[in-house]
Amino acid sequence: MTKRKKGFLGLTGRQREALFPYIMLSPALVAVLVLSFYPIFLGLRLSFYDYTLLYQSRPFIGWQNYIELMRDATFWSSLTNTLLYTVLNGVGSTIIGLGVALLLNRESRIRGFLRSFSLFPWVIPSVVFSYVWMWFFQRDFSPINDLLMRLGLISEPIAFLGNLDWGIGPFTLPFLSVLVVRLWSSFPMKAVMLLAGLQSIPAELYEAARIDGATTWQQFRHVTLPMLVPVLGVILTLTLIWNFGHFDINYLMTQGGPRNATNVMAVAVYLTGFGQFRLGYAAAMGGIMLLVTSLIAIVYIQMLRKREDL
Amino acid sequence: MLTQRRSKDSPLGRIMILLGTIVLLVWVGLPFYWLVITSLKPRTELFLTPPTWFPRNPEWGRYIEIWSFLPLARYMLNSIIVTVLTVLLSLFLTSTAAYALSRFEFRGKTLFLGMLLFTQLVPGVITVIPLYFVLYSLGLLNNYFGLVIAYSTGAIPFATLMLRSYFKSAYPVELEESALIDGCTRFGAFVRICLPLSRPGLVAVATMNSINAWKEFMFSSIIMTKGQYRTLAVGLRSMVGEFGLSYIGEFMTASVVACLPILIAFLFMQKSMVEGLSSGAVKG
Amino acid sequence: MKAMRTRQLLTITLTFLLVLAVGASGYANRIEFWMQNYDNLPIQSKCMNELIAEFKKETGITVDIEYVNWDEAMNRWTLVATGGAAPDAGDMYWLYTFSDMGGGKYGPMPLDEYVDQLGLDGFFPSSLADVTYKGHVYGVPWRIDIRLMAYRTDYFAEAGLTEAPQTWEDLLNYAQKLTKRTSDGRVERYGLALRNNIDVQQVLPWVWQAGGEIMSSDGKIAQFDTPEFKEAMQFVRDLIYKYEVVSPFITDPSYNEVDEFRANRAAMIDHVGPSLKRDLELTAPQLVPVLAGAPPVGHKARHAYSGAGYFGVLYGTKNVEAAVKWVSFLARPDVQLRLGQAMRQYPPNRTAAMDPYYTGDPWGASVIETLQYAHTSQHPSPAYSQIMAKGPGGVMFDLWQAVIHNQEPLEEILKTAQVRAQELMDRVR
Repeated sequence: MTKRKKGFLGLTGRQREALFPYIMLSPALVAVLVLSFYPIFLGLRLSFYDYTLLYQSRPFIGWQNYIELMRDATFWSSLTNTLLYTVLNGVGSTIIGLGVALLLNRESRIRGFLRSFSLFPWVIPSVVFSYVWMWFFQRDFSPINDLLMRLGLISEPIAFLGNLDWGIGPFTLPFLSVLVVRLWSSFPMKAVMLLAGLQSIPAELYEAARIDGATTWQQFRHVTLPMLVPVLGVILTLTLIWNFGHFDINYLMTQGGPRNATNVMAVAVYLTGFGQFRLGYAAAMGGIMLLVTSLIAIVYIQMLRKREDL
Repeated sequence: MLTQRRSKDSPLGRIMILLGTIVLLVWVGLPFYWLVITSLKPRTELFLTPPTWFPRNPEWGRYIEIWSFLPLARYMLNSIIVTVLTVLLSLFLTSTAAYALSRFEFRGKTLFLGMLLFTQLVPGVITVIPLYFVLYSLGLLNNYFGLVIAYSTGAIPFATLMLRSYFKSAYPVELEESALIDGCTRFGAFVRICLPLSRPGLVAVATMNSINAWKEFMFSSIIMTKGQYRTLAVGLRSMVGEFGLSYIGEFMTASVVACLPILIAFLFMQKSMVEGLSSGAVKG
Repeated sequence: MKAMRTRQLLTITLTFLLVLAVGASGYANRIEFWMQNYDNLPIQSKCMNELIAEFKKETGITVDIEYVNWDEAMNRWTLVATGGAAPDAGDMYWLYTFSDMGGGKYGPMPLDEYVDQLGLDGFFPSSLADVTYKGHVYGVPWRIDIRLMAYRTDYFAEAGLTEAPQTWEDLLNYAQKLTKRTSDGRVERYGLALRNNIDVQQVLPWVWQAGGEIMSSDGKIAQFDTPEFKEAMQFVRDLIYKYEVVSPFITDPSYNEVDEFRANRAAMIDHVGPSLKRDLELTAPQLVPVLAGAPPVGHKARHAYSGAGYFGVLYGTKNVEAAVKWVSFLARPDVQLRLGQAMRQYPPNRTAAMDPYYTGDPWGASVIETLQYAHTSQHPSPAYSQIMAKGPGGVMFDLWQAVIHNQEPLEEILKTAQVRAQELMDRVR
């Protein structure tokens, strides 16, 4: 410590060398500390207070908010929905993304067009496409309902976002309709990353497999898939984490309704914090979310460790 | 590099591929088709049962009127400024950090990686209010820079991890070592060797960050409280008024206009992004 | 230690801001004003720019105007009331809530000293209720937000009906006559459309009409498990399931009562805002000639949900005098009329509302007529805004969804709501 006081220029070459990574790291570190960590700390700290915007006294109440959450039915159903959406959309969009990536990796006359076109959903603001999808799921003016009626498949328009009678348990029609939109908006990024993964597989491997007489499926199963495992691991981890905190589409389309059918935790946090002004209680929900996402992260870090990457 | 398996496809495989392509085209294309035709439909044609699949009297003039109906040019300029600055700042923040993480062993490295991951675990809805007050006390509300550092910080974890693995595998480290022997400084090696040789990886990361900055609306709507700083995604929502969707047609028109630049940019960036990612960045 | 340092940092920042503020107070003739956007933004800003120019000519004060999107307004005013960036004056609503939130430090500022200057004599009493809280006056109301009944005169004529319904019995009778079914029994057109479920305010008039209130007048006791509340909810359920004259799809987030009207799937809409006519003018002009309005029906009493938007001054302004001058300028009858015309609103100023522009139009006349049945939407407990919070988890939202879905018995639904509402009200401090 005392040596450092000599100043930057007084450092020996070795010391400078040792300091270099820290200097390089410092801009990002400062930004993350001030603009991520500090707000996260402030936000989560509220979970131990009865912090309601309407009242000026905001006492410390320990774990009380968390205890209240445990007997809050809305919370439990939003947690269930969040887990289901996370797994279904995380895995679903990765599978679709893989399919699309395989398609885009093939030689074809329209590949250039197809590549850009199928990735368009990625770049459209959710504000825009959620209104278009709302239109599709509407009863009276929906082109989907119109098509189904014209084809004679249905006699009355379907309430895609309203019908809670069809479906089993949490898998209601509104739940699935919103899932379709979430898949739509989230598969392109996975397709891009998997496409990149596919292109980094050496062609010789396929060559060798073909000489051994492997079928297309066998090539996929024994060459493509194993080579994609690292990429798939990264994608799955990140999408699981991101999906767990997903807000936009569920909020813009249904605000969690009807009843609790499409309510996810990020929406519940928002409605509790900004709608009911109970920031402390909302923060406790955030605390639970952190707990769950931490589990995903721990698995990921173990995975990295195993590959001696960390 | 590319695999060509066309010759070995079975008829069944071909049918499945064709079917997949069609489903993909319809699923992706229909919302875009609807967006475009709705943007052209006169108001009185919007709410018809059954809906019209082709606008009967397309109002092409809307694409001109929309520019005076709301300050679209201003919103677009704001979004472009914010996106460009975000890309530049985040490249600076993430490439320096990724370089340190990829080339050195030092105390606290694992801690920093853990921290990066941690910031991804807490949803934005929890942090948006505290962040607002942090930026407020720093005097950074209604300031491009306020939004830019918020976005750039948000981009750090993912982009740093991606660039870190890119820097590890993009070229042989010996290149840098020989430069160091020739008297180049560490930082010099980073600027003159690492950055130019990692261009594809940087382009990939920049593309992802620019897409996110262009689309985002929650932070933007809270940080930019003055109309003159409003970004496009937020500005579009001003058309959805207190009592619903009377101006939904105009909204769709403005949306098409707002989406076009990024779609066109994407046409050009998409290829280099995949290239960048494929040469190492996706390894995690 | 950490807290200390934070506090120090805050003190330094605040001092810095204060210095800045003192420096800025040199510009005493400049105020910032925030307003939500209404109808057509170019028309609104043209009107506002004219008013601002006239005001400047008269007083020398410059007004900088900022338009706030409606869908970000709630967050914006919440941040204002909790110490975020604030303008000098603004176009506000939900006075009780934001006033509680501000706690006398932020948010709406009482203007009792200036009340003579404001010129509130010529305003409808129901709208003044929305700018008064705990005996203090907070500003100038400028747009009536009252809910009335809308109906299609062509369908009425078809069914041989001439007058608007007056009572619940009328409403049921009418709805039955107006409901049109196909030969196989499917409903082609419902007699009555309720509002989309996201709007939980619509529950209140039913309860009021049955003679109930959702809380006691001192704001201490929730009154959800009362016979009146039950009667009201039973009536709604019967309309949907027993008589099948109301669509059960109102819990669909994409359902919209105006859409039902536009798609010829409804003959009457209960509790709709005054902007309906404007909406139809834009999107379904063929319906404007057959649109008529009337005060909502009554049962034990006749009540219409009533709120008002108002112009107020915010704590933190360095320039109260100038802000009050601007707000009172906006209270003038001629200005209220111009605001109303440009933004398609109904002015609470009596003189402005009696202008032929409004009285000459039957729909406008119905809006004004409904005012005599106005029941304020403001409630004595701050927990009211929490009870009415939108989305799952909101007491009223959950209650209404459960009522419409018709699975649990009403007693149970109301009992749960009672417990939850009371819990929120007990937390008031």
